[in-house]
Amino acid sequence: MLFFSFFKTLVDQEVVVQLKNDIELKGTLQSVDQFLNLKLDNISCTDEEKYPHLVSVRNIFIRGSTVRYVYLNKNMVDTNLLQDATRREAMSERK
Amino acid sequence: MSDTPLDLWKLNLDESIYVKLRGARSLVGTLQAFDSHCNMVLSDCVETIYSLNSEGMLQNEERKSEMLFVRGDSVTLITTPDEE
Amino acid sequence: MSFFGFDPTAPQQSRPNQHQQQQQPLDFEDTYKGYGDYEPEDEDFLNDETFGNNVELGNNFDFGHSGQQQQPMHAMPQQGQPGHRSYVAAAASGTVQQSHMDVAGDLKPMESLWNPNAAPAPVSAPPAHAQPAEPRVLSMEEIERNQRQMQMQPQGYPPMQGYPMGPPPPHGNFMPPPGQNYPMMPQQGQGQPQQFQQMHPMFNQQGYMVPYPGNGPPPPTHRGPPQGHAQGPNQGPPQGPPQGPPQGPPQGPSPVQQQIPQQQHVPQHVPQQMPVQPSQVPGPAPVTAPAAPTGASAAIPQMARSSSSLSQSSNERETFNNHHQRQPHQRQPRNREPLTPEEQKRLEVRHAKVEKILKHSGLMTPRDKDFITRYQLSQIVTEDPYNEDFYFQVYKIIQRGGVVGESNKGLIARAYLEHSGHRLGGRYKRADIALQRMQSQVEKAVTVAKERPLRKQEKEQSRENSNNNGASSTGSVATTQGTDGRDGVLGKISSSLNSKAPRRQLQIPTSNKTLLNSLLVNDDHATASKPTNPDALMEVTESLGNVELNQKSRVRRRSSYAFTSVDQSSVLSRSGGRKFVLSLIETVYEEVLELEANLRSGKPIDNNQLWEALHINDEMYEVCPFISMLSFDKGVKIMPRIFNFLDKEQKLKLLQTFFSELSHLNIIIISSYKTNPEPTESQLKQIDVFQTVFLKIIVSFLSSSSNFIEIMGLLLHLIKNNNVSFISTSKIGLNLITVLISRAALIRQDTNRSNLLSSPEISTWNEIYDKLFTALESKLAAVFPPKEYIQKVGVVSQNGNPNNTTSQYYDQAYIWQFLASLALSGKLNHQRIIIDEVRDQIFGTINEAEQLKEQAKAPMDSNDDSMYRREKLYQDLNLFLNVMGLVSRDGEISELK
Repeated sequence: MLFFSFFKTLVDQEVVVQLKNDIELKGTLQSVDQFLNLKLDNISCTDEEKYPHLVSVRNIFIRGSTVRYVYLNKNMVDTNLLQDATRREAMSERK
Repeated sequence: MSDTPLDLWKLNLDESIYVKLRGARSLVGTLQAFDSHCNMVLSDCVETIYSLNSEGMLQNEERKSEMLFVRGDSVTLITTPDEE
Repeated sequence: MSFFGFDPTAPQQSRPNQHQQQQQPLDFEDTYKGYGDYEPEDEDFLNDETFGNNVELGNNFDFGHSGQQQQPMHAMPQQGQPGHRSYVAAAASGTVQQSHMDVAGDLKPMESLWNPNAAPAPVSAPPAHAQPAEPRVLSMEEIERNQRQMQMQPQGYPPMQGYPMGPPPPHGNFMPPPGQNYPMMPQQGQGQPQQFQQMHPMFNQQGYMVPYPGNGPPPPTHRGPPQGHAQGPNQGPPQGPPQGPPQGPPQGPSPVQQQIPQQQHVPQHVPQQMPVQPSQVPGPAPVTAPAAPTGASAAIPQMARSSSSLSQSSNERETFNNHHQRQPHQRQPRNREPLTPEEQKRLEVRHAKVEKILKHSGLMTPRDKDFITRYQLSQIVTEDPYNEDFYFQVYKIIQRGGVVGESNKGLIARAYLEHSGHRLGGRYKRADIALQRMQSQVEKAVTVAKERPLRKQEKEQSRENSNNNGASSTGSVATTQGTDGRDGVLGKISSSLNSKAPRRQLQIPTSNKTLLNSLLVNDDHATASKPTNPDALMEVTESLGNVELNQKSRVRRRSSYAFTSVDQSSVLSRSGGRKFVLSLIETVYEEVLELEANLRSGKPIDNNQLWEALHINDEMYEVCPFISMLSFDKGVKIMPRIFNFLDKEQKLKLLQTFFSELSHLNIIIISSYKTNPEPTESQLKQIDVFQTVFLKIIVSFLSSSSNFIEIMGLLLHLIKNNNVSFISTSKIGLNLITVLISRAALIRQDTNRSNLLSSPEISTWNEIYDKLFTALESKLAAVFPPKEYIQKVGVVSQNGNPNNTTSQYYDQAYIWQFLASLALSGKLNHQRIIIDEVRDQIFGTINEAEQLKEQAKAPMDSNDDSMYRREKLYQDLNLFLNVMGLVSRDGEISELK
């Protein structure tokens, strides 16, 4: 649940999602679930010439498994906390 | 001390790691988070995409990002980068 | 596993019940047993999953283990049922007898469904419900009792278990009668027993949560149909179905559906009854109609619960079957007349509707549903969302702007606040807090020192900018002190400084005999109060004596850093290797996390394991593993949180180890221009992290809890085991020394006032200081990094813009702070030596400042920047000069006035 927890803190932040088929979408993270499916609002396609069919799409549901990357800003993440959350997760999994 | 792969990986938290991905991509960045699915967050990350140009020569393209979430199912290999 | 949770293999024993008495017992074989032979039911293939897998296909399952009694029910409608016992009440009482009575009532309206021959029944049945109900007005008590019972009943069952499984929330407590769900099953997941297991709790819940007055489901027996009508709207918010019937069945199902569009199941069951009732009982039919499915839905859970009522269950079974029979002809062979055309039509409409609904069934697999159920449940029931959702929870606390109160969560969040610097308005504004603290410490010390008498000789000497060696004037300093001058200086200073009055003790002896003098002075008071631990002092003194012996070890250690190598791995290999050290760090993290969790949950704190994990006393390796841990940022970052859990002894021990092995500290090596003339960006960042985190710990430890002896001890550890002149070439090392000696100076000043230092302490301090000074003597100029290094490392000025080529500069404040502290603690001769050694740098700094002034005259964007830097240069320099009562401004050095 680490990354679910992580993404919940990113709700309402602007992120760039790169899908496994290279499509890249920028948008405001609206919600996330435990599969890391993402809902983006106000999206814009970073390469609209290449993917014109996405021009008119305003919000979108992305199946988590199709995601390759999510680009974030540094100030959205508390790295110390995140590292410790990772450690906690690893500790609890071992137990 | 248990030495599961995950434990070993944990040693590199806050350290630089090298990740190979599907699609001739690789990443170098500081490991901030990971889970058992190989999902991870890297900071100060450099992605390298290898490809062949029209003459069949290997070329690579780099892209930097300050914070990156990587979906684990693209990951094929994780190691520590070469020391300078 | 049986869908309804009872054992299909149990013998179908007959039980005594009232029907036996009322009616002729019929032979089971004649009536029921052979049924399956000639009339295979569709969907029989699901029986396994529904009723268990040991039942022979083709047999109707006997819900109440009372197969023999079923048939009579079909054949002969119930008669003379005393009507109006609340269903819930019956369920609550749970006695067989009562149930029977109710059941009979329940069945009445359904008769027409399964017994077309029972013509009189429908006629009689409706009055049975309608008549008593109409006049009857429930008393408040009854209503309350009913409601209470309804509330209580669900509680008796696994709460919420079924909830998420059911149709999505829009349905609310509007659970459809099972008959409605049932036909969907085959489509949703054929042959998946799992689904039925999942459905099970739902039915349970339906039965007990649904019977809400005013709901579709409320059975006629509850209060009688009229109540369902008249009171329904007032009683329960979920009003869907009851509203349907009143509008009249002739309107057909579509209006009903429109009215409650999202309650898909409701229209489903409303029309379903329509075909049966209207023709027979035009008036009350709509009224009783909604009751019918209720009987079914309510019955299911009850069956699951017990088989207390055979007649009820058997009849319900029939009802149930009827409901889920979508092909009416299937029933016909048994004992049913063909449907009237009107009925047929309605049925068709209904089927069309059901089809529509079914289109969406199976959208989610049972597994999906199951997952969501479990997930939703986990959200509801998780004991401690904090543990499951650590990052989110703590992150939100931090984001909300700090920790308020002493909540447990707050304790954890605080740990992160501290070192992520949110309190200062953002992670990135924490800017050198430690340095600032150190600086203020030095400044404070210097401030006090300013009150010292001036030494004109020095001043004059400086003014001349001469190359004269100040040593020649040493002897006369004391005599040249003018009372006037001092007064003037003091007068001026005291106005601008904190209101500390000048103190007599500050007339620090200025000759070589000062030591004796001061000892004498202090002895007067030292005997009065002696708070310090004599043992500790002894220890320090002893170790002081050992300094010479330890020269050997120093030599050995000196070789270890070898002055040429920044090779981190070589240091790490001396303490077990990189991987080993990393694993130690992770162990430390685990311990700290555990302790923090304990702190939060109020468990006792035992830091033994943490202490072990730190390997402070580990002699196994050439370099203490603890020192190597500090080679990694994460090892440094955890330190403040470690300190939260250590007692003072442990902290002291930790710092002693730290200062003893300073030379091995990776950060010293990479921050020394000698060993690392070209630091990389990441190394500079590392230095910054160390400065920010670790220096701060030390400063706060020293200023809050340590006493003079401990500080002397730490300094001794440093001098004893390290090459001080090397350490002083690194920024971190110099800062560490500064922290110690400036703190010591402050304590001495403070204790001078309150007379707390004993003479042995003073003399010990002097000895230690001498050692330190000896180690640094003749190498003081080396604390200034060479130009190349400065250019390399220089930071971009804050106001710097691209046009400004000179915006790179290196902040040397820390060096002047060090020199100030050093001079502060020293005697006159020490000070003179210092001035001599760094004279070039003093004038170099003044020159630089004046150049900046020239620059500032030029019309450039960076004027402000230049002026600011000029100010800063003077400010830093004066920190040092002030110690000796001097001040530099506008290219001149003058006496401090």
